[in-house]
Order: sequence, then C-alpha cells, then structure tokens
Amino acid sequence: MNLLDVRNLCVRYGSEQTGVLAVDTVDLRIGQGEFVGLAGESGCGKTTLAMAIPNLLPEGATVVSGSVTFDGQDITHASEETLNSIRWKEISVIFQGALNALNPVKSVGWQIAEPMLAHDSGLSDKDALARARELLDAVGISKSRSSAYPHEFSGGMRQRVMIAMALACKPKLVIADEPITALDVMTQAQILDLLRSLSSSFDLSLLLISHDLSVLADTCDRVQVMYAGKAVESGSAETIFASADSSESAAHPYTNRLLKSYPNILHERVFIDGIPGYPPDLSLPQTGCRFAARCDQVQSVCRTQEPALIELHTNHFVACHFAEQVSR
Amino acid sequence: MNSSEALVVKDLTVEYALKSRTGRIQSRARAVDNVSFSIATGETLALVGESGSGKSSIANAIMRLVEPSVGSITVAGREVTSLSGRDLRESRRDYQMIFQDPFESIDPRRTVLDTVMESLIVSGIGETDAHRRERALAALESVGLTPAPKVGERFAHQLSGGQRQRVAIAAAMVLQPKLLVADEPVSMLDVSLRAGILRLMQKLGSDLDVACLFITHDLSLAWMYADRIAVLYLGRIVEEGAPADIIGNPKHPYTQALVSVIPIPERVNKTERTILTGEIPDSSHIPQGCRFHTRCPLYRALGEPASCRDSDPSLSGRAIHRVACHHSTEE
Repeated sequence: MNLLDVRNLCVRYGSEQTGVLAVDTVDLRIGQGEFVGLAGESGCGKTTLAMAIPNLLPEGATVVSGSVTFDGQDITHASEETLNSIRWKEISVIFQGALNALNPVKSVGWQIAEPMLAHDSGLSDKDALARARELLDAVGISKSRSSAYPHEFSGGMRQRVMIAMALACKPKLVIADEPITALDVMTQAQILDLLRSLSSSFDLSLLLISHDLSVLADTCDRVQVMYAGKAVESGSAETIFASADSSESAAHPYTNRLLKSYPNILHERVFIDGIPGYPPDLSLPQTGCRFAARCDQVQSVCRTQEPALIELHTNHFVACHFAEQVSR
Repeated sequence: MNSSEALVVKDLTVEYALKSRTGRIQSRARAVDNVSFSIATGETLALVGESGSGKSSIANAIMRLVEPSVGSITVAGREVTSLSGRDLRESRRDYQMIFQDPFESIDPRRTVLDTVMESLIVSGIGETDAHRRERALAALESVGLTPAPKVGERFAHQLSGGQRQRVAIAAAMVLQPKLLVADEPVSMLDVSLRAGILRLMQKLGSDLDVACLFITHDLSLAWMYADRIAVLYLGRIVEEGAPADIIGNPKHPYTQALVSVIPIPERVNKTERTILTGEIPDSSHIPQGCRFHTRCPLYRALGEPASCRDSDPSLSGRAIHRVACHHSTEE
C-alpha cells in the first residue's frame, strides 16, 4: 500500500464560472520510504498539488474533485481538527522561501520545540528543548547554538533549521517546496546530502518540488513532471534521466526539452535549448494537448485531441499521442 | 596597455567598514582582496563563486556603485575609479549592468519605452525625443519584445520575468556599451526561459562586439556560456582558465569540489562527489596562509602541510590556465 495516494485531484482557484483549474485530474503516489520529485515550470500546478495534500491551500483555492488518501485514511475533506493532528506529526512541509519563514524574535531551539509541544501535551518544555538540540545535531548544527536567533545563521544554516523543524514530530512524509533554490551550489549539495542521509535514520518519505530537473536526478527514486495543470510523465529516476539511446527513457517531448534546458558537462559543450514560448493561459478553455503550441514534434491530432496518461512501460506513465516514437 | 582590452582590473581591493552602534569602525571586511583580471573586446569572462566570494562586490566596484579601497579599473582605455561628476556620467555609457532580479531592477512607474529612453537621456544620446524614441523602439525589437510600440506602452508589472529581463537588456544595450556586467542574469528565471535570455545576450554581444563579465554561482552555466572562467573564493581568484580546462581538468581543490557537485543525471558513481563541510568564512576573518585551507580536502589529505597555513599562494602557471595553490600538482 502506498503511504500517499492522490487520485484524480482537481484544484480550482476562483469561482466555478471564472476560476482556473490549476491542478486538473492528477494522480500522485508515494510509497513508504520513497523520494519523489515533482518538476515543471512556474505555474504548472506543482506547489498547488503538494499543498492540497495536507490541505494548506491558499484562500480561494478549492479541491473540486478527486481524493487524497494518506496512510490508508481518506483526508480529502477531513475536518480542520483531523488535519491539525496530521500536519507536522504525519506530514510536514518545508515551505518555499523558507529562509524568511523563521520567527526572528525566537531562538531556533524554541522554534523547533514548538510543534512538538503543540502536538504532545505530555511533553515538558525541557524535554522538547532537549529533543530540539538533538535534531539540530542531526541536521549538522552544533547543539550549543539552539539559543541563537535566525539572523545569526546563514541561508544554508536556516534551511537546516527548517529541516530540523519539519522532522520535529517524526512525520512519515515531508513535503519540500524548492528547498534549495536560493542556496549556493555547495550548500545545495550539503542540503540534498542531508535529506538523503536523514531518510534512513528517520524513515522518511519525501516529496521534493523543484523547477530544476537536474536537482532531482541525484536525490529522487521517482519523478513526476507536470505541465499546465496536468501530469504529463512519471517514472523512475533511472528511466527519466536515462540517455536517449537507452531501451527506456523519458518519452514526453516536454520532459525531453526540460532535460535539455541545463548544460551537461559530460556532453559536448553546446548552447542549452530551452523551450520557446510560454505555457497556455489556463483561464481559457483547453483543447488538445496543452504542450502542442510549444512542441517541436506536434501533429494535427495533438491540437484537437487531449492525450491520455498511459502506462508505456511498467510504472512509466506518459501523456503523449506519440510517446512511443518521440525522438530527441 | 593593450588597446583591445575592454576591461582591465588591477590589484582591486574592496573593503567594507563594520561599525559599532556608536558609529565607530570596529573592523573591516575585505570582500575583494587584490584581484586582477582583464577582458578582451567581445570576450566573455565568467566570474564564478558562492555568496560571500566577492563576485558582486567586484561588479559593483566596476559599476562605481562602491568605491574600491585600492586598485584601478580601466574600461575601454579609460581609468574610471578617479572619474567624478560629468566625466563619470559620460563614462557610464561604456559599461552597463544587468541585475539578477528583473522584478526589482525596473522602475514600476515607467512604461517599458520610457525605461529604455531614460537610458539614452541620462547618457545624453540622441538629439530629439523622436530620435530617442526611434532608437528605443529598435532596441525593443532587437530583444524580441514585439510589436515594440505596443509592448513599449506596458508597465513592468504587466510583463513576465523573462520579458522584464529583456527590457533590462534593451536598456543596457541601447547605449552600445563596451562592457556588459551581468550579475546572475538568469538565476531567477525558469530553466525553460534561461536559454532564450542567454542566446539574446550572446547575439547582441557579438553583433556589437561587447565584452561581458558574466557573474554566476553556476559553474556549468559558466562553462557553457563563457570564453574564460575565473573561480573566486573569499575575495580572491583561485583558478582561471578556459571552460574546458576548468571543468575537465580543475587544478584547485576548491574548483575540483565545485565541479564534483554539479548535478548530472548520468553521473554513475555518486560517491565521487566532494561535498565541502562548513561554509565560506567571514570576510572580516580571512584565514592566514591559503584562505581555503580551513575547508581544503587536499590540505587534510597531505597531512596538513605548514606551507598552506603560512603562505598565501598567488595565481601561477601558464597564462591560459592559472591556479593559486601550493600543492595542486602533487595529486
């Protein structure tokens, strides 16, 4: 059984008449201990999908249909009370822009202790602080710094504090939304390494959101790519990042274009391709494949008929009419 | 001096005074420490480093946004650090900058066309407004903001991040500068849009023969985009060379670590990565001797030789590939 099972989820911003379906009939599954990467450009719906899981959607956003099952329990329309018992304890979130998310007037030790105290009334302040110090140690910050304030820390250190906080109540699933985007390369490597090493010691599952596919390659077991509110491809990291001549590799033209959007130092030194154009305006009705306007392999059927997400190989799903013959 | 050099930076040092609450200077942070480099006409040099390496301080010193403590900066044959007033204003058209954040670098109250025309007005280019308008529209066309008269009427908030960065490029390039300083020009943009912006910078740069100082923390991007790469650590260039040499044959242990953590999907053996521990030290407390020795894997592997603690290595080696390390060849 999967730890997380999201099925046919639709999330709308705004009203039924004028609203925008930011997430349109999307599935997402995460197994116990699995690291899943969610990729796509800004506005593709990846953050909306992730925030719908613990129902932390912003005002005006509604889950229109579909279901979220976590650890066997349907939490799609769970009460706020139920969700509060799940957030932090079962599912915790490292928010985008976390570098500014810490409270500037509280010591980092206290900030890590707070969710523990909120979820365990039997816990004393002293014990919570002691555990906060252990968590700091686990994320590579000296215990002695638990009384320091966020402004005394660098960006990388603050991100470590955010990770410690996310782990405070021993959650089963951590959702990390662009956790390394604002950090330096060496610090990025340190944080990704930390997440990997913590996964075994804390028995974690992770949903890692990033617009940068290359970041997911080293970290994730499986990758799901989204485009304009739709899941267009998902598969094991080996498959998605396999070279084009492998028997099984990324099959959606969008995924392939994303893969060519960053320089690869192992290949010949060529200019990156990027993807011309912009994603479609979702407030307008969509017909056909949503990527058709930017796809260099577009055919007439693509403009009229929406491709279904099909299982191309075992556990490799693609939504493209020509998935089997996509060339790179 | 060679007249084909668009930029010559010599012995540049930038210090910031750290003051107490009463305004007394307590210590000095040396963000840039005796850095020299040059860029030929039409050439692109990438300055690569982490935050705290001094790369933005170098850019700001060239743009005369901070005063250098020591050193000279020569743009297109003119020493600019001694200029002031009218001479300084006049010199500015020769060196233009593109900032990291297109959401903050464009005046929200001006239209796109006014933003580009403002560049010309400040530099005293163009006889009449009609003349300037014509040039500004041509500049908008050249950065792909078409139809220019229509896009020109928009305000920054009506544009996407990529479009804003195009406006910034148009405002810089309309002056036909000799040097473009681009400080992380694509790091705020979606990966899918980066190529378009970089291609545009490259095309305009080669059309107008503009030299470029390309500042980035992303070594793989520098490898793809630049003609030459200089790696900065704590205010000092520690290695400089051609992109193929820096990536394929890095000599400095710091560069080697940076290359090893570039995320590559096909990298089979993941254990080859060298993740440095700790963070770049504070520039008000630069370590004695080699400034990298406190984090250097080679220093530890060699049994902590005294030379690394005692003497500050300078850039040496063949002119096309230079490295500042006492032991880089001993591997």
